[in-house]
Amino acid sequence: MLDPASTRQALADEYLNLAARRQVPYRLVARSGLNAAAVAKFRALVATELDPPSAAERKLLQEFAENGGLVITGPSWGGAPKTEPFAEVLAGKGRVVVYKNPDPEAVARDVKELLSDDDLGVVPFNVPSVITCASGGGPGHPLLVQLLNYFDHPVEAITLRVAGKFGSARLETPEGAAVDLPLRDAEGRTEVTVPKLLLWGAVSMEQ
Amino acid sequence: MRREGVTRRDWLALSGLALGAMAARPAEGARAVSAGPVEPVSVAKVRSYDEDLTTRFRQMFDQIGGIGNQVKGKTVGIKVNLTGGGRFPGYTAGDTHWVHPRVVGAVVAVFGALGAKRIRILESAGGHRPGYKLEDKLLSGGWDVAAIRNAAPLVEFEDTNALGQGKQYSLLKVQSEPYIFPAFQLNHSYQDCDFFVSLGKMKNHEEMGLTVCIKNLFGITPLGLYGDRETVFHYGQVQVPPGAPAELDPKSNRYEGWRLPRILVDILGARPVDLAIADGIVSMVGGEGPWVLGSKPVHPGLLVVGRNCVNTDAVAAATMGYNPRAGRHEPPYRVFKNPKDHPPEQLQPGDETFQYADNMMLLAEAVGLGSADLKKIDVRGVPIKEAMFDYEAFWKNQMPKEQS
Repeated sequence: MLDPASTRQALADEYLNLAARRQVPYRLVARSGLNAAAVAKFRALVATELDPPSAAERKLLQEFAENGGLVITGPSWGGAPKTEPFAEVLAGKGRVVVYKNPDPEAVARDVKELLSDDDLGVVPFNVPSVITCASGGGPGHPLLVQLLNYFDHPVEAITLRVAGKFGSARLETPEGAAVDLPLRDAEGRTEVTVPKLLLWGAVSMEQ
Repeated sequence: MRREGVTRRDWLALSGLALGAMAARPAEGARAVSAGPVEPVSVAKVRSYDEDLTTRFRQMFDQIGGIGNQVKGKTVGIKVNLTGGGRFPGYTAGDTHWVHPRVVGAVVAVFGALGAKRIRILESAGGHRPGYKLEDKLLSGGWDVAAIRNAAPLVEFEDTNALGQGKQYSLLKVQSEPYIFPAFQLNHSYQDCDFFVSLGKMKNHEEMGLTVCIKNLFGITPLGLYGDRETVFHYGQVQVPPGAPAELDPKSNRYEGWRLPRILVDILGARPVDLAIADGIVSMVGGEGPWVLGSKPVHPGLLVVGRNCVNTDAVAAATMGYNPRAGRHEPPYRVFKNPKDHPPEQLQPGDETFQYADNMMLLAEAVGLGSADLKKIDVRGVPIKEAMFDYEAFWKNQMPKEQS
């Protein structure tokens, strides 16, 4: 969640920067647009910018957690631990994680670890210098995963594990013609490996 | 004689005069240790991971007397070394600080061809995500997990950092005379195997000086039970949790250079190794991972294989340019630990004026687990002198730029 009125925009940007580098897919929700419908489709809400949350915001976040979601908050939520970096509080079917000090690096790392493969949807492996962006994938629509390598060495053997079963995967890069990639079943999910990525590539997957 | 914190057995081991210690009587009930001929070790020069490693390993296994009878129809457990993350630019983790996937794949293929019934790849995955598996860690290193799985009829992967597929931990008692711990609670896989392999990487180590096949075993201690290896094992700041065998003397020396080598020997005594393999084709000097200040990649071009883990480490150390009988005052055991990463008391050992690690090979020799005496070890394949790659010189930039 972003608060345009916040005086800590650089900090807010850092959450986004580091979340992307940790391969955590995200969308932005402005504080002014926060309502139940706006957050219904998410698995987790990073609400460290709501510092402190209003009574209405707190109620919404609490209900989101109780319905199975993960809420990440800072010490203004209350109940922050004294020595541990965060406290995980069970709430109905979900959890509220309260940080003592919501450092962007720690939050980005922990969000990735607190979410399951199903929550993340697309889980990339061996992407030390690659950021990914998934789009599409709704009923009847192909899933598109774009990969961007920001280092000057190519990356080899990138594996994408995708929730669901797919029948085909095609890799496109600026270097040559599109190629079909073999698929593997991974306990109900689908895995595909990109042999080599120089700068940019896109994998489109269809069911 | 007795010096503070050092028993006579320790002094013999440290001074290199361990012959007398070889005759030391094992603890009551411990496995009798033979003082007979030591197991041979094979050394090979291997330029690249692209070579035919399967054929190479078959040759090396033949050179040490063959392993077919021990593997056929059996369950083989292979503890691999996947320590830490990060990477050097232009290198994968499997190049420099993990064992390489092609080494693992070749070893699995050979065991499969020799008739192993089941092969389990074992390591602590170290992940915190729900459902995180050892295979996920391998994928994060760019490994072709499917290829390794298909290299033999039945290949499994087990994260041994917790219970894994087991319902309870297995208690393995130290068969030699224990230094610190009498036993360990381990993932079931370390008991449920007929033939156990330590597949390590030939590296320096910031705290221990050296890490090959003995040190590789440290990762078999499950964090799911012990909690934290640094506070429990390295520094002894906290005692083991209830249910785990306690250390023999909670008042013994807490300095990790004294303590941890002895714990490593206890682990080896609890989970003996049937085959030790050291991957030094590509590696690194100066530390055990890219996070160690001053470390860098190198290309030693070496493989070392032996039936006895201590002998194998001794020969591996020699091919790295080190004296396997070196003491605290000598490379690689005179160490310098990064002050930012270590508690202040670990930077100033009480019994010396400089930081050190005791030689785990000598400590293992002292309790009869093997030999660190090159005069006793039958080295087959390439002689050590021809294979030697001077780690210390490359680390200190004293060697000419290596040829690619």
